[in-house]
Amino acid sequence: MVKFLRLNNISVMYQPGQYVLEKFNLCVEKGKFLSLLGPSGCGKTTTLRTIAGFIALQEGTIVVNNKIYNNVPINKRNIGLVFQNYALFPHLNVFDNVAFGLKMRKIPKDLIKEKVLKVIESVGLNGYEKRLPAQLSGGQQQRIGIARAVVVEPDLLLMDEPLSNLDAKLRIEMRAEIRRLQKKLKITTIYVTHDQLEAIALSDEIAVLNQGKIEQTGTPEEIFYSPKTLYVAKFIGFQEIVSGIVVNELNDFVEVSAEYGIFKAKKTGKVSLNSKVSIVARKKDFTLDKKENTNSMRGKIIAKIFQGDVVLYMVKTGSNLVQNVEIPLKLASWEENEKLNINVNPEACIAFSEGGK
Amino acid sequence: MNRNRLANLVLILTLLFLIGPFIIIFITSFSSEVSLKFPPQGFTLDWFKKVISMTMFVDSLKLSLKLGLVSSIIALCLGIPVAYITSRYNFRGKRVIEVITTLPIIIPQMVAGLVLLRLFVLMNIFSVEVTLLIGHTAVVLPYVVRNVLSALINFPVSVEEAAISLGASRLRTFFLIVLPNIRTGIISAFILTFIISFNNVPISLFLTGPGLSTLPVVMLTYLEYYYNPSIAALSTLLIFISAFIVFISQKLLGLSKLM
Ligand SMILES: Nc1ncnc2c1ncn2[C@@H]1O[C@H](COP(=O)(O)OP(=O)(O)OP(=O)(O)O)[C@@H](O)[C@H]1O
Ligand SMILES: [Mg+2]
Repeated sequence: MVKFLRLNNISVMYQPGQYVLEKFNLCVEKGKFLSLLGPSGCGKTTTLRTIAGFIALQEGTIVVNNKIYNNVPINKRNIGLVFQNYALFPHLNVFDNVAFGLKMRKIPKDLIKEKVLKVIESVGLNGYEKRLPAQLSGGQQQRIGIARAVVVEPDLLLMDEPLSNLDAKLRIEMRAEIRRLQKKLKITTIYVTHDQLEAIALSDEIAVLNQGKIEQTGTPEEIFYSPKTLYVAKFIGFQEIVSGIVVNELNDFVEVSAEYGIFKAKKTGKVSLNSKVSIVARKKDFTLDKKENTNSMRGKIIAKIFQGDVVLYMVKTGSNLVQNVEIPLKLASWEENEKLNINVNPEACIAFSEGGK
Repeated sequence: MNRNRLANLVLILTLLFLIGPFIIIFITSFSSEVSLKFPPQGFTLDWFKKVISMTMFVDSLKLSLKLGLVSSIIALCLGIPVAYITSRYNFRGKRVIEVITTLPIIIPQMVAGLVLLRLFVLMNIFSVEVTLLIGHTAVVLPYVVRNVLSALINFPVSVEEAAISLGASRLRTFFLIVLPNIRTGIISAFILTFIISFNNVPISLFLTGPGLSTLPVVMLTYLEYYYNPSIAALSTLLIFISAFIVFISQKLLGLSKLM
């Protein structure tokens, strides 16, 4: 499969000597939806703006559709940009906002009208054509922002945290809409977010960034269930439970001698006999019990927090560590100060080698 | 209660201080006496008739209006690009441009007027009119730069980036997107610069002479020789003209905000 977008070894710096992106490689297939996921300051926006052409490359090439983009001016790149702050043209009404890109492309008036009305309809805002951006809600403004970007049938759709100014409920609604629209129009999309659930819900592929480098790329399932590094694991919701030394290897699993006894966990990459590892698991994979199972830690409940259909227990284990444990409401009969065991299925535990990935 | 009364008193005193002089001028301009006196005696419109029939006043009014208009327009043409470039780009010499465009506020205008006189008029490089125009433009330019800059700072760069990504060149983006959105700033800059130029004395003082002079300078010289209500009548007229200009532009601004 030929890649539609390729970033080959790109490096970017704002100040001399300080790389924000370093030897960066990224590929996206035509029509696919890729999310750039990472914490604040890791270089997501920089990557997006470099592809768009607002930031100059220090080295490397950007290839779109087999064409080198490095020296193509921004306004000739045929990209659609969607901004966190919507960035609609305040003095133009909804119709003219959406029509702007088509007018720049000198498309005949009747055709513009047809296309604009169609796309406004597809984001569910027909009837709003005469409104100014200031007369729309945030969600409506972003729908128009998306309509304005896709109406020109861009080679690439670049979105920078488009939903982070909206409230939680609307965000989830809009996710579904963005995905539906992107699939219908088959636009190759790069989507920047720091919200792992958003990336998982939307993407064909996710690239997790860490300080200007890609830590892992993969499908949402791969990222969610099989993180390749401790950094990715922590970022998508795993928490460290114990660390220890590998004492036995069994197919895909390792046995680790840790503070609380022997722990069994799935192994990753460079984990081998006698290496020092950290074991991680998700808070919803723990169970609380008086009995001891395979992977078990003794602890004392220091807080019980009601969260709707689940209860979050904060359990203090031996060495001043606190584990968050999520238990379905029906099973949450434990109270504060009770002493018990945190158990976790080995299938839900992953071991990462410590130091040197 | 007591405090309220005190506040009211302060308010009334402030208002009196602000519009009191105007009221006095307004009333005096209808006085039938031959020298400026308050309270005036009698009532006449003769001073108004006299003022609008004196070529000295009419000619200098025309010159002042022309000067205000042309220098404001030139200052806008220079100041808008300067403000735009300094707000959106980083480059060497940016500070220098910023200083040069704000310097005229610091330099005493009297000195500037004298320098312009020696440099251009006495050496026969430019005519008096052109030199006046240069002086006035320099005086009002900083106000344009500042007004437009603050309008630009409130306008997000991402909106421009959206236009560029949709295929507009930087120049088109400026005219189609930036300019319409800083319109209010530009109009208020224009009103300000027009009024500043129209009222300017120090720059004009050295550059004007018999036959070619701006209205404020003519009024000043006239006052030295004649102390009669005609100057009050002229002031009343000017105040109404200014109020009219401000009224009209506020109407325009109000409308443009709605559109
Ligand atoms: N204009 C700039 N000049 C200098 N440094 C910058 C500039 N813009 C960003 N940086 C730096 O580059 C790094 C990456 O920034 P970037 O905006 O790409 O992060 P991000 O992943 O988008 O973060 P966020 O989630 O907070 O938006 C940061 O360390 C930031 O401080
Ligand atoms: Mg960002």
